[in-house]
Amino acid sequence: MEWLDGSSLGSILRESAWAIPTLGTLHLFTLTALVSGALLANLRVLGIPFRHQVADGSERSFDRLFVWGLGGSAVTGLLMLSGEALKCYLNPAFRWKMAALVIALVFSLSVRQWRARATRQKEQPLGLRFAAAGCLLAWAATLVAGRLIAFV
Amino acid sequence: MDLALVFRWMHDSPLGVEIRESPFWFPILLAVHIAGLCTLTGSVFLFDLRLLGLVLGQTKVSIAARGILPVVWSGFVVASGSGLLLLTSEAVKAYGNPAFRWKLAIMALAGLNALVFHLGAFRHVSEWDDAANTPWNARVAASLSLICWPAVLLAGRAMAYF
Repeated sequence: MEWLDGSSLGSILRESAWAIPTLGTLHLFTLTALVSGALLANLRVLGIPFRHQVADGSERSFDRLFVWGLGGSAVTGLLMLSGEALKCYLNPAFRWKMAALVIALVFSLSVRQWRARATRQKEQPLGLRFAAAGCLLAWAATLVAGRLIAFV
Repeated sequence: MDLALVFRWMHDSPLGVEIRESPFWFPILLAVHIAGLCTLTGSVFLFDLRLLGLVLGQTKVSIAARGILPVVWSGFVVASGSGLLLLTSEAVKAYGNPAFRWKLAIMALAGLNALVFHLGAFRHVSEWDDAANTPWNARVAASLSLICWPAVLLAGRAMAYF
């Protein structure tokens, strides 16, 4: 973290008045894709939208939205982090965010694997539905902790 | 009635004071606002791409609408509810904020665009439900929406810098 903070990229970002607000906005844009992709894909597992559509491939579109959002927010997030690495390292909300993020990623991956095997059934297994709900909770926690970084 | 007075009244209301003075209401409401707006704009984005024929190729437009639009509306309810509460806590500041005025104006435009779509192209959706080539007015609505919602987010973010 000290290395990241002291890197030339870090100091460029810190010294520019525009860099962090611009990255913050891009981070928000990419988050919309991540959040809604995760939401739709997991709600689909829970049988809420597209209830009568079995194996229509819609989950692939949701996943793609999610993956693009994840990639974009990872890049913009890492750039912002290098601008304020030390500040974030000491920030409890940032630590909570990282913990929630790891859990959310594990949930997302396992739901995806499990779903691939359980596909073409109208009703998804109960365990998978619990995992999907857990996945949504973990992403919500990541979002809340991320927002709180600016306040603690 | 003077709109500025309404904003002043919101600002001075017990609810506004409570949110402004509490150390946690404002951050929590902001987080909820972001969760709502991500849900709203992200799922609108996906539906717009479907109208442009870029995603969900195997899903009929009417079925995509039935699956996605309730998610859009839920996001809208969460974002506007939390947004109103946030506004109450800094109504006087927001009233004079040009970014806030832009945000509301563009949101109104996005709403009007959605209304025109629902009363226009979408009423005859059964005629083009499967079509890879959606009608021009559906494409125009999708493109306008793809411009409006990021602009709303941008204006919302800009509010913090005025």
